[in-house]
Amino acid sequence: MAAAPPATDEVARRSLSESVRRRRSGAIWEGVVEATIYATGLFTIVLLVGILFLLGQQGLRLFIEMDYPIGKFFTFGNAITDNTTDIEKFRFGILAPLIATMWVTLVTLVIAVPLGLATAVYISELAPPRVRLLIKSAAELLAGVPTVLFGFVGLFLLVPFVRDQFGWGAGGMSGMTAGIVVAFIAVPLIISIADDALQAVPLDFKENAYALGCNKLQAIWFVIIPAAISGITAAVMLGMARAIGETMTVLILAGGNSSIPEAPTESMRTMTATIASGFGNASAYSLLRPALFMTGAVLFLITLFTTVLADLVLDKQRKKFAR
Amino acid sequence: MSALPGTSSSWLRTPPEGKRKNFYQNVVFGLTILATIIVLTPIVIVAGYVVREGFSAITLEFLTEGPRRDGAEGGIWPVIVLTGYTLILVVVMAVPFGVGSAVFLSEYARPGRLLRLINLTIINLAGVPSIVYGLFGAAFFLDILGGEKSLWVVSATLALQALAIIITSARESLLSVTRGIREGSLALGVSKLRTTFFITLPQALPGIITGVLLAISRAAGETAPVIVVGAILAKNVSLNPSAVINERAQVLSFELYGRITEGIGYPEERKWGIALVLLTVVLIFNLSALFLRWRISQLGSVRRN
Repeated sequence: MAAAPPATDEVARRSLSESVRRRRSGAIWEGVVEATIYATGLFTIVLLVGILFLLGQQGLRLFIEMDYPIGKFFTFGNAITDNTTDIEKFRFGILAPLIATMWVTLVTLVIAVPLGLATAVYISELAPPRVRLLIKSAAELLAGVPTVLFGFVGLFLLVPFVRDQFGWGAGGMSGMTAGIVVAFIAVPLIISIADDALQAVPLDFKENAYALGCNKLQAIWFVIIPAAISGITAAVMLGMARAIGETMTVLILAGGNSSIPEAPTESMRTMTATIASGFGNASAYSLLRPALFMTGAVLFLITLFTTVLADLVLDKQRKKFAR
Repeated sequence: MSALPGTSSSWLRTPPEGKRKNFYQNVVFGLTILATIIVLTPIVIVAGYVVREGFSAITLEFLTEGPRRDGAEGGIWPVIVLTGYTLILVVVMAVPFGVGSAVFLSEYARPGRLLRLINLTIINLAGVPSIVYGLFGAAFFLDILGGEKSLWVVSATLALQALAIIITSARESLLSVTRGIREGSLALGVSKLRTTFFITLPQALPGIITGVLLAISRAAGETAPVIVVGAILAKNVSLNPSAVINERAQVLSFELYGRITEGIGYPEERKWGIALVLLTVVLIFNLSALFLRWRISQLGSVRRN
């Protein structure tokens, strides 16, 4: 702190009048800057609506301008990404990618949910603070690893193993293979949100449980987890949205078969992988480009719906413990 | 000890014997530790494997020279430089919008429907699949704005995706600035905007930087939108900053993906080399973000004492 200037009336008056003058000269600029801040505040809404609008606009061209039958788009059991302008030859339906996405997501959740929730319980309730911080950081690091690297390493470690041991899919590349790897991509998110939910349970819940004679496990199982159940549900849903939207690992590891997969052990191509693999050769006037945009729009709506639902569930928990 | 109300499963009731008392507990807790270990092993596996396989590919030539014979020889220097340009541009485009939006949310917006809607929007933006950002980028920057498939389009698309992370962390950081500091400034007659810029924002700066570092790390590793918006494999081009507009993007993540899928006859070792460079870049930003956040929490706890 610098030494205070002598507080004479002269100085005070001058600095006050000066600051008033400065303020006046800056008032217009301040107004402009504040208006800009308001505008950027609303930018996110514009962006989200813009994404939906543009995807819809580009996607609906398939039905409106190009007369591709809507029924065929939603029921045709294959998604062949041919770059064609011929409606008869274009055999693309969203059903197969949709089912492929469901399989991969199912495998992911079966693995990631138990692992994620158990880890969340451990770091939230059992681990000492230092260990907790360490594991949280490590989980964030895991979340930060580019998914293309997971795909690459999976291709060299998991795919040969799956091929030799189980013979799934196309040479070891299957929905199951991809799902196993995606599980580790979704798990940090599940841990983080479930941990927040467990932490949000007020301490006296636990203390009351102990006072009633519960041991630690009983307190966790009968009191803390039920109290945090909406947050835990949200964690699972957001993990699901993450798995649905994951692209690179499924592109590399799921095999890429465009027809409807009957089992998770088959080679398949999810919605994300269909877009990523087909978009490169979709020319501007082909049917493929709007079809992929339509696929993207469906993907977007699914994740949007899941995320909004998860937020509603989270909000319920927030209100429950709000004091 | 009696059973808890609503307890139907007898296995959880505490048995009377002393030794068995904690048996189930220990088993379950042991399982949670096991789960934690399983969750964290992929980091070790991925990092270990990439370093082991890729280390031998990292030579001075690999890092500092242009590709020869379609990338089978030479290095990935152009990819490294253009990745740098891409990331710088992401920061330039995303930070003003992200921080501006965070300032609005923490300093200006009043609690109510609008704030709730914007918060929900941000959560959703964070959950939008990266490939959807790619589609949006292609539709908006290429079709509507009529841009060429150049580097800035890739940057702009990644910047949109980075927005949610930057806003969230900047807002959190701004909200954690003590109210008294703001009020002190306002009481001295400083306008709200100046208080925000000269008092609140500097206080929140470390937290904002943490978010920006995380966003850079994410953008560096992002591949799916880059595929959609259009990047190319390593190629010798002019590396002036004007490449941002004149040249197509070459980024590490796409280089790796492209070599995995199209690289028949591309030396295996070099793929791992690219993977190692990519992992290093991502980890540098990620770890510095984690370190910075750790420092902030340290300083914060000292200050509170």
